[in-house]
Amino acid sequence: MQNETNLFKQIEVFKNKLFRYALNMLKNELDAEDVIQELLVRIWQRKEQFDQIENKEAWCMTVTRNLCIDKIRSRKQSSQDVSDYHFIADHGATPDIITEDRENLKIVMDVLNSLPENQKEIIHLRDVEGYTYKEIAELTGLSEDQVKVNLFRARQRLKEKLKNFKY
Amino acid sequence: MDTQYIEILLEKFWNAETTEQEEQHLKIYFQQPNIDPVLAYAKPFFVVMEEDQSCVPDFTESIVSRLVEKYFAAETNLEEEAILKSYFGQENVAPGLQANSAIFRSLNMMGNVAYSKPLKIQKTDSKKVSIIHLNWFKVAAAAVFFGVGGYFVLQQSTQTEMPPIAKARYIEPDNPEEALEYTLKALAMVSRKYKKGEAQLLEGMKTINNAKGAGN
Repeated sequence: MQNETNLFKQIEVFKNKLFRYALNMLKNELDAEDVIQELLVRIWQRKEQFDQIENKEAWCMTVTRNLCIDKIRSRKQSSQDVSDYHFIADHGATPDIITEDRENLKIVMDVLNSLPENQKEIIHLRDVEGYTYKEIAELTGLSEDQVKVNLFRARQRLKEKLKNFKY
Repeated sequence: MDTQYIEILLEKFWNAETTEQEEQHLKIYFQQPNIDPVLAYAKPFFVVMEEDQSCVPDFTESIVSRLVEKYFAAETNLEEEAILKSYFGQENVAPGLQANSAIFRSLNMMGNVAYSKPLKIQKTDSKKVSIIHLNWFKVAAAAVFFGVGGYFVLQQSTQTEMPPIAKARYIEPDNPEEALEYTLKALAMVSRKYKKGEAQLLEGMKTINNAKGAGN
């Protein structure tokens, strides 16, 4: 039987994707961390089956998505807050993030958060994580055509809303 | 050279995977007049590259501008989207494209968010959770215990709260005459009830017999 470290080493390569996905859905860092913890517990509880899973990233993304949906449902009210966006810049790999970038990030995040949930989710999976239409369709349960339509609408709204901003 | 072949070469070119010979093919293709309209966006890159190497920013702007259009129409593939992110991620963005910079730089920043905690189950948290669960379990068990216990106590208390006649059994009469009077009253009541019951039984029997007779 393998130990915890070896087991979780298998998700090391895509753990950031899982965290970002949870963060995108929950808009709260602590909630996203809770979801990752819950995911680890589930993997540990099913460690024998987990080894047999061929596409572990897809499985983990699906479980993360379901856990996020549960968490959103259990919330009495939305914890979405503009100030929640700031941690994104703080977590950035680029240490010298300039003020302009932070301000622009906040504007873009505000626009993204004003999109319908499915559009916001799809634009994140495509434009932040670089998933194919097929992968997004499998994860969200939509058809590839629906994914494309939603992505088109999301990008059009992004373009429309940001054209009036002065950078 | 057909369009499909050029498309393949272009994809390889964007990924910096083309050989010198393949790049030569691309240049030849874009210098001739019959260019597929779908591929025309890439023409300035190869034609200008041939004529004047110093104009790199201009044709880059043209290509990126075309890719931005394709991006908003959701027609870009993953490689083209990677080119856009890479282009807007650097400092020298053409003035005509600055307006799109915020989107792609923000998407890049969002993609840099990392999960910094170690990948292990937080013992303290899970302990807390288990303690909380245990406490809830205790509270629930106590509630059930007191609920069931309370129910039986209530039942018993309602049983002890008996009607006046039953209570009368426990009244100690003051003298034998009074005791006899109580006894006679009780017997009379029992007798009345018995007679009433007997009359009802006889009445019922008569009805059954009449019904049987009528049936025959």
